[in-house]
Amino acid sequence: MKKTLSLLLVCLLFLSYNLTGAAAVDGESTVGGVQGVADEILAFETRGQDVQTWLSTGEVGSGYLFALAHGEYDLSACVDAVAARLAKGDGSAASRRKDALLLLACGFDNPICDAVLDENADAQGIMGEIFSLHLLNNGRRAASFTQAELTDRLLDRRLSDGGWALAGEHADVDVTAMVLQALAPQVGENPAVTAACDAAVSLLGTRQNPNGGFSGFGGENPESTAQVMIALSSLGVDCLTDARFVKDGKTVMDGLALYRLADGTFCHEAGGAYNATATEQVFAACESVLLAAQGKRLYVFDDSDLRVLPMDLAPASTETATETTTETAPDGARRALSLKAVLLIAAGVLTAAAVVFLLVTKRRGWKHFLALGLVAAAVFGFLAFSHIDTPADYFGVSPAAKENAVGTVTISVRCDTVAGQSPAAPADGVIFAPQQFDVAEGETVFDLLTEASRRGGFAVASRGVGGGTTYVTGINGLDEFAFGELSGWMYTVNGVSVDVACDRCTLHDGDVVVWAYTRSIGADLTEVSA
Amino acid sequence: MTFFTVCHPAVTALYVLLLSLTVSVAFHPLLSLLSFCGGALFYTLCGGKKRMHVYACLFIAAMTLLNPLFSRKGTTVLLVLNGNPVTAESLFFGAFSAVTVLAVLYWVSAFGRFLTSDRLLYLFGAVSPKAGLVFSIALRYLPLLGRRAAAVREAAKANGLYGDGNWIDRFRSEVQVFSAVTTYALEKGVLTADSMEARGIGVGRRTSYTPFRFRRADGALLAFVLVAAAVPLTLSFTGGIAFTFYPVLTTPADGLAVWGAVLTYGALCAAPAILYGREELKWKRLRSAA
Repeated sequence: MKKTLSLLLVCLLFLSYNLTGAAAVDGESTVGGVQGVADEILAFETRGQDVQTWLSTGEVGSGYLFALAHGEYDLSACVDAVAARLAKGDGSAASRRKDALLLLACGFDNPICDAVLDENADAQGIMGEIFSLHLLNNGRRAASFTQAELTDRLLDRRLSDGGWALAGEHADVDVTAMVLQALAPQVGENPAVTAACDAAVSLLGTRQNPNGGFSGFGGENPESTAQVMIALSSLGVDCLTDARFVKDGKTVMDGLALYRLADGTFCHEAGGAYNATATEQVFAACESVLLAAQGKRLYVFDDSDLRVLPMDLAPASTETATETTTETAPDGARRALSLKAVLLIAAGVLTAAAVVFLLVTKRRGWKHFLALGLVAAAVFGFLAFSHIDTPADYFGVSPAAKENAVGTVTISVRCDTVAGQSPAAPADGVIFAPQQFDVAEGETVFDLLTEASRRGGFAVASRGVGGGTTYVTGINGLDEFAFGELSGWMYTVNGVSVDVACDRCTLHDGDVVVWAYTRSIGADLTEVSA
Repeated sequence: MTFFTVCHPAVTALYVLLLSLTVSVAFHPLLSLLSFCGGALFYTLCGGKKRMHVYACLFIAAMTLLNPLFSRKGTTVLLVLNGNPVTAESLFFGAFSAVTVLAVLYWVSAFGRFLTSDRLLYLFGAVSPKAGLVFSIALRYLPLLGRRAAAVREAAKANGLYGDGNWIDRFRSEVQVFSAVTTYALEKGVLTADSMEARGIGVGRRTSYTPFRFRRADGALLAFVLVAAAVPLTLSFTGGIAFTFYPVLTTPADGLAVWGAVLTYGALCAAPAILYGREELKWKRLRSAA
């Protein structure tokens, strides 16, 4: 009797598992399925609150803002953070243009939305040009270029295979999709754009994986698929039925389903945990598909009732900022060189003194000179191939805006677990408050930490020779093992502790990196952040 | 005839042991510096080689410059070398550790000339006669092997069998010398064992001859050493003079404890030189009086 019952239970379990598994894979390649995915993400992110209440908190990602801007919501609570970033004046050309676009999405207008287009107009990079074009599509006007000129510039960047990439000769799915999103409003009006977009869509079709998903930045991920969905829906291509995007019955929705978690959110890598960026981008993609059905585009906003943001957002004169950087750069290089020269001269003087000593003390055997020569060569070689900076040159330098930026990431450095318990640990536990940085393709968590270290003026001590061997031993003079043999620095990306060396963990747009000091290999960190 | 040549070996051994132990346990830059100065002075007075001081300076310079390359600790950034900080604390710790190591080296080599192998045999004989015997034989055999090798080399050269035209020749010749010395050592080992057995080693309980007398002066010195070492040792074990190098150089808050340790340990470091100098003065006075 017991046996039969347990058998029955196992069967039931198996059945229910199979049923839910089947539900997650099928039945989503319809508009209803897309709506369902978007609704579940929204339900998770709002944590059961009303959407408007959630938006009133002001802490909503850009992907949600772009998507919800088309609904009947009031996004004014979210504009403060965007306005603050714009007023501050730093950030890459692309991120500033994206912020200006966000301002429009939130339903506000400000002269900066036009002014931002002329910042670094000739060196905004492909990402800057994409967001510039989005701004122009929304009726903004630049003083230094027209929409036609910018479009030609983007078309000139096209690679021989018909797509776009940040670097190299082969099209990248994400970048191609993002360019298409910006060009979409001109399709049908401008024959060159129409032809280019047709070719690029066909290229994307050939790049689709057999499971329906897309690969970008090293592997298949839902973000790349989401970008393609936004591009296709903006172009009016139905990504669920178009023959170029159905592979053996699998559509992009089937590709996405592989990354969908039980709570409706998405992970970045198959089998991974919740990823905020992936979830956000999938939401934007689903909404973009739904908007296309209403004849709307994700990045083109209704400008009928824009309110003027009553703030002066003009950043502290960008021209002077660029001038000072160009002035200080050669100056810094010269001083670093002179420091190196001083050390080289000191080594030379010491070597000469040693030679004189050997000659005076009648140690004239060749072995003495060989030994001296070897030591001197090692010292000179080491000095010559080293980067030597004074702290004044090294720290307090904000990295220049990156031309090949693929997005922005946030980094902070905290030591709550030992706050105030060491001269190197500030009492509030904050060594570096969250700040945004541009990130180029392939840049790692360690690169980001180095940039933050230079901007924030705190030293980072590390061991290793790169290529996945780098290990951070100390930050700001707070070293590993200073609080027991289990203490040291750990990092999380989007709240998840990553099991690879920090110079191997590459960054993606929207990632949030936190370096935290632990006293017991991470066991005490969740406690502090909670 | 100086103080330590007639001093009881146990007191001498305890002296050098406590001098070295304190400086390595206390880990305080002031104590290390005192120990270094005292050790270098005593080493020089005892007729140590002047070249040692040159090596000591080079060692300190090398450790000071090399430590920051391997230890990136500390907060006072002086330079940024390949993205890593070179800190004042790290430089200081490099110099400190070199000074500490050299202090111990100076003391051991200076006192080493008073702790001859017969005294060591006597000291170890009290604990384990067998270990003492092996130790003393080993101590004798290492220099003996060197002398024997030199003799073999000379003989080979005299017979024209030692080629030193280039390093390959020399290597070949040295291999031959090594082979001869090894054969000699094995043979000598067997002979020594036979000789010792013939003289009745291991037959019955062994008596020992101790030519060392524990004089009143030894007792006074022993009391002084124990008291003078106890203060800094106790203070360092209780953490009263714990100096921190990282992340910031910090002297202990209790200034009195530090001064107590510095005075007592300073006396401990100065005593050998003073005792030695007194003998020297007496000798010179006697000579000039004569």
